[in-house]
Amino acid sequence: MRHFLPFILTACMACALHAQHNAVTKEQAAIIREISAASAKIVSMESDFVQTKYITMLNDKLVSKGKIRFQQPDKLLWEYTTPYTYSFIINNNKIKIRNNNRTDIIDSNHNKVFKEISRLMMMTVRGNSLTDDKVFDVTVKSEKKAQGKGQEYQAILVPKRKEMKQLWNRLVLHFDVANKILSTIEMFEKNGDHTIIEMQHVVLNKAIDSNVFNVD
Amino acid sequence: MRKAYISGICVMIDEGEDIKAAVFNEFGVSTLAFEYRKKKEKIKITQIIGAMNRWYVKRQLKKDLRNVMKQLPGNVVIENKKYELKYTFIPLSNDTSE
Repeated sequence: MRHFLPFILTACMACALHAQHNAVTKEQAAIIREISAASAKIVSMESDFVQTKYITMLNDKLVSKGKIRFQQPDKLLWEYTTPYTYSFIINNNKIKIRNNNRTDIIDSNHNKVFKEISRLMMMTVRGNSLTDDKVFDVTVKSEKKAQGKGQEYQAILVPKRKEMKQLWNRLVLHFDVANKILSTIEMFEKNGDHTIIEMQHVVLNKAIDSNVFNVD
Repeated sequence: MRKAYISGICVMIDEGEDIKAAVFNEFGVSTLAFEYRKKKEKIKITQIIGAMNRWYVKRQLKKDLRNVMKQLPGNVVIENKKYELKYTFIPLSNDTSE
């Protein structure tokens, strides 16, 4: 009996830990299902945004503002309005960049950096970044909002792909608990820089003129 | 269409003897950071995106950025015809209200 007891205790502890792991995983899976279900209903999205870039090397930050428009499945317009005017359009694999009087068109298949970034932006806005386990390791949790008002869901995405790993250590997506809409994107880079993009005045499923996504 | 293309914002801070600069693209991803020593007219690259982190790329980049820094401020266009590189720096309005 003396030799049996440690074995029984060890077996019981193993079962308890296994049960606890299953409980956490089920909760995460439920949150992911809620967010994915809400994202699946998004056909289009318009939003204002505020982007704050913390630059470690310069010990400074840069704040810019603009507008986003998204149309399923693969059209995105990202437009900066202050402190500079700058826009880019992703339409399938083509990217059009407009800056003052200059326009450039890039094929993302020939530009690895743009390809990974456009992939990330599309996945994030479309909502399937949480379910594509080939691209990210995902952890989700329910947390209090930074401002202390209410709860939010946080998804921590750690890149698996080599190209994305070179750009980011991790990404943190914040979702409103009530409507499961993406409210904030945080991007943590390997060099210590940190970018926060806050969505404001989000409008879903409103008709968008398809010409705004024209890249020709 | 270009195969290799980097665009974005270059922020520079003049610290007297040195100028520190950081380049990041439209999404806020840092691509390059460097220091320019004014007296020695030397460039030190302190951070560079993975795809460009090759000794021969950095060597050429230092030479070209030195030429860029000598011509700033104002619109600067530098062409490296040997390696088919083109650098275009366009000053943005100095709106520091944000």
